[in-house]
Amino acid sequence: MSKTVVPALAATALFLSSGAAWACTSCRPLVKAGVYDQNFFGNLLLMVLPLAVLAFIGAGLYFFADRLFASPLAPHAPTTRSTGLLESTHI
Amino acid sequence: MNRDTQHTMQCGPLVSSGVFMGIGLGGFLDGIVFHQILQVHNMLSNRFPPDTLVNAKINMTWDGYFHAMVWVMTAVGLYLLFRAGQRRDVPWSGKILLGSLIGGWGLFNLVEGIIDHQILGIHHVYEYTTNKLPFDLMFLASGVIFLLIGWMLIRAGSNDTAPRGEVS
Repeated sequence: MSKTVVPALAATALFLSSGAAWACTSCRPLVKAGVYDQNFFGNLLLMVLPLAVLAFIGAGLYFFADRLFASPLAPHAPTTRSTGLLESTHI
Repeated sequence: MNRDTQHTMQCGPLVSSGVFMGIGLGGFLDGIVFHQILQVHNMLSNRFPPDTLVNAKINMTWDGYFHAMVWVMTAVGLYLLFRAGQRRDVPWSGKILLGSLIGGWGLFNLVEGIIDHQILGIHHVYEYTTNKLPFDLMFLASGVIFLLIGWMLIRAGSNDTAPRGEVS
């Protein structure tokens, strides 16, 4: 058992003690200053722009997809059975 | 023929929901595979090259905003899908939904690639090279290919007529 536990513990200790395992406490203020500066809303706008265009296209497809993908067979709703009945009885 | 009893099927609500979800899921895939696993294509990497820990974390924060936005797109798509499933004049077509999802992913790659990479230049697909254009063009090409596949699938499903609950 010790053959597997000891190397595993050693590896864990090595990993935890490495520099990468520690949070960069000193860079947090620098990151906040870099993100939430006078350019924040400009950067946010740049980021929103493509998604706004995509949302516009997606919303447009709600109304115009039928024209774009129109089938020559002009599909009808499953109410065709009742439509047929109505036709046959000439109501 | 009684016109009041005949309805034309509307594929728009299903296409729109699939496209919104495709955009959102395409954005998530982009974020997971490129931004996080491969550590490239970060949102503001052309302004803050991620060559220091601070710059990498700044990009990470903007990646978070990006993920929040594509989450909204996915949620909108899910809502539209739910509403489409309640309508009897909307076909419950797997081909249309799959085509819309793939088409939405293609639209995401194409629009994001044109605006962010080519027009605004806020980032590129792969920053660690002097010639960034080939990677950007591959990204755009993938968008066109996905868009065409999506288009063909939607066209293939445009004759589907059964609404939700009546698909055999």
